[in-house]
Amino acid sequence: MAIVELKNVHKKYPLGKTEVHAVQGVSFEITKGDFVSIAGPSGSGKSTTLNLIGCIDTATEGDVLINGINTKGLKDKVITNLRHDTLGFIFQSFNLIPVLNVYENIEFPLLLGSGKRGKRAEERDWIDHLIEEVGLADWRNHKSNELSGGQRQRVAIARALVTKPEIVLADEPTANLDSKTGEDILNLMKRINREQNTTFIFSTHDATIVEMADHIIRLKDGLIVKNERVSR
Amino acid sequence: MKYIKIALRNLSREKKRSFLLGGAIAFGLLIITIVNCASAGAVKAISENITKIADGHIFIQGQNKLESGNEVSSLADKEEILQIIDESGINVIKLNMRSEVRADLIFGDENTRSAISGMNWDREIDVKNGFRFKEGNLDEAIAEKYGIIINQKLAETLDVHLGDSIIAKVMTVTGQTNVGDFIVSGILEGTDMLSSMSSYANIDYINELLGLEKDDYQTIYIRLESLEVVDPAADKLYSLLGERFQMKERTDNSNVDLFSLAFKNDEAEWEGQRYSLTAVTEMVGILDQFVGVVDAVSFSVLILLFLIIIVGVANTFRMIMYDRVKEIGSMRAMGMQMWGVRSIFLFEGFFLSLAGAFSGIIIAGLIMFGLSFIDLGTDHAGAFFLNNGHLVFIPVVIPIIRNVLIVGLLTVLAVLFPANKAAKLDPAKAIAAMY
Ligand SMILES: Nc1ncnc2c1ncn2[C@@H]1O[C@H](COP(=O)(O)OP(=O)(O)OP(=O)(O)O)[C@@H](O)[C@H]1O
Ligand SMILES: [Mg+2]
Repeated sequence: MAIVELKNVHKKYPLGKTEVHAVQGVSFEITKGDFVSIAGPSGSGKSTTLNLIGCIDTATEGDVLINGINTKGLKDKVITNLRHDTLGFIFQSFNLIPVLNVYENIEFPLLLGSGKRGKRAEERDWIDHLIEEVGLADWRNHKSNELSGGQRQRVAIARALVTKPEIVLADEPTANLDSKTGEDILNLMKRINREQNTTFIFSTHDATIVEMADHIIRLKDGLIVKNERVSR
Repeated sequence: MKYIKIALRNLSREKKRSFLLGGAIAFGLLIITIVNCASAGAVKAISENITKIADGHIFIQGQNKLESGNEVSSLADKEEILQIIDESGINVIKLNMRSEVRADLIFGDENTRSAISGMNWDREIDVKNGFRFKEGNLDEAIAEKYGIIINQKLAETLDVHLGDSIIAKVMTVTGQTNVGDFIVSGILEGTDMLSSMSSYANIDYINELLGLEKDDYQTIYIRLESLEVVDPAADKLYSLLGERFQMKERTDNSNVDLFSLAFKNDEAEWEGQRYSLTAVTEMVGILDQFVGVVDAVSFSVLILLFLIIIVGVANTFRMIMYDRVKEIGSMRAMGMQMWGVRSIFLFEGFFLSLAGAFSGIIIAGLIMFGLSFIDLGTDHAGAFFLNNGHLVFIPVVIPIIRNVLIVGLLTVLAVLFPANKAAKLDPAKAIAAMY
C-alpha cells in the first residue's frame, strides 16, 4: 500500500475577487521508504502539494490519503495529532525556535505529543544519537542564532526525525544554502532515508538535487508533467 | 509545564518589550498600593494622635440644664458612673479625670479663646511624657499652682513668654462669670492643629475657677488596651449608663453624609442632668469614610490606568503574534495543538502581569519604608496625619491581593484575543509568511 496517495487533488486560493488554481487535479502514489522529489519551476504548485501532503492545508477537491487514511474532513485536533505522529517537517528557512538550544529544539516535538512520553533516558539517548547523526555533537547547547545556515538545517533534520515519523517533508530545504552545503544536506537526508527507511519528500528547482531522488514528480502550472520512479 | 517554560523564555527574549509592559503594570500597582497603605496609615495616625492628646479612648461628660435654661457642665453622679465602669467588665488600662474650661485669655491688648484642661499631674504620666518644651521645663511647669502650659502658637498669638501673667475669663458651673490669673509656666513646641487645641493647668485651680470642689472633675477619660476594642466597649458602657441615667444621643458616623455633617443639628429637647459618652473612634469614623472615598477614587484610577495598560498589552501581543507567525506556523506543523499556542500566549501575559505586579508592590514597599524615615515635622496642620512627624503606612493585604488578581485577570483577558488569533492561524500560510 502506498504511504501517500493523492487522488485528483485541486487547490484553489481566493485572490481578491478571483481565485488562483494552484493545483489543478493531481494524482500520484508514494511508496514507503522512497526518496521523492517534487520538481518544477516557480509557481508550479510544489509548496501547495507538499502542504497538502503535510496536512497543514486542505484540498479544495479530491482526496489526500496518508497511510490509507483519508484526511478529508478530519478535526483539527486529529489532523494535528496525525502531523505529530506520522509527519516530520523541514522548512526552507529552518524555523528553529530561537529561545531554545540545539538539544531543546530537537526535543521540542516530543513535548507536543498527545500520548505518554517515553522514558527520559531513552529520549535523551535518541536525541543525542540524532545530534551525532547530523554532526552537531559539539553544538549541542548552542542557541540557533549561533549556528550557520547549514548547521541550522541539520538541527531541523534531526528535529523532523525525533518523533520517528514515517514521512519527512522538506519544502526547498536547500534554497537558503550555498550549493555545496545544500548537497551535504541532501546527502545527509539520503543517508537517513537509507538507514532508517524513512520516506522523504522534498521540493526543489535545483536540477542536480532532483537527480538524487528515486521518484521524481514534475509539476508545471499545477499539473503533473512527469511522474517517474527511477530504480538505482 | 513545557509551555510555561517556553512562555518564560519568550518573555526574556523580548526584554525591552517585557520590561516596558511589566513596568507599566508595576507602576500602576505601585501607585495604588502606596495610596491604600497611606490612607489606612493616616487613619491610624489620626486615631492615635487623638488618643494621645486626649489621653483616652472613651470620654464621659455631664451637663445640667439650669432653671435659667443655661447648660452647665456637671458630673453629678460620678461615684455611680465610676462604679458602673468598674463593674462593666471592660478592661480599663487607665482612668483619668479632668476639669475643662473654655476661657478668654487676655494679655495686654491681645486676647484669644482656648480650652484649658485641668490636670491631675500625678496621674497624667503619658501627657507629661509627650510634652516637648520650647520654653520652661516639665518639673517647674507643673509645680506652679497657678501655672498654665500653653502651646507655641497660642503664645505667639498672645505674645507672651515664660513667667508672664495672663488673665482668664471663664464661666462657672452655675453660669457666673469669673476671672483668674495664670502664670505662663511652660510653652510647648509645635504649631500643629492638634497640640494647639488645648492648654493645661492644675486641676485644683481650674476647679476653683469653675466653682467646683477641690477634688472634683468634669470628664472621665477611659484608656483601653487598643483602638480595636473601643467600639464594643463604648457601646456596652453607653447602654449600661443608659439604664441609670439620661444620656445624650451618640453620633453615629457610620452612615452620615460626608457633606451634610457640618450643618448637622441633632438636638432633641432635654431637662435636668444628662451624660454624654464619646469614643475616639467616632471622631475618626468620619475619616474612615474619607479613606473609603480615597480608596474608591484610587481604585477607579487604577481601573482606568489598567484599561489603558490592557490596550497596550493587547496591542503588544498582537505585534508579538505577527513577529512570531512563522514560529507559530512551524510549531503547529510539528503537532502543537491550538490550545498549546493559546496557552503560551496566556502564560506569557500571566507571568508578565505577575512579575509586574510583584515588582510594583515590592518597590512600593521600599518607597514606603524609605518615606517613613523622613521627619516631616509636627509644626503644621498635616502633622495630624502623621505619627510624630512620620508618615504611617499600613500593609493592607486584602486590597493588595484584590489588585493583583484584577491586574492578572485583565492582562490575561487582554492577551486572550491575540492568543486566540495566534491559535487559529492557518499553519501553511503562517509558515509561508514573509514577515
Ligand atoms: N496562500 C495563497 N494565496 C493565494 N495564492 C497562493 C497562495 N499560496 C500559493 N499561491 C499561488 O499558487 C500558485 C502555486 O504556488 P506554490 O507556492 O505552490 O508554488 P511553488 O511551486 O512552491 O513555487 P516556488 O518555487 O516559488 O516556491 C502560485 O501562483 C502562487 O502565487
Ligand atoms: Mg514553494
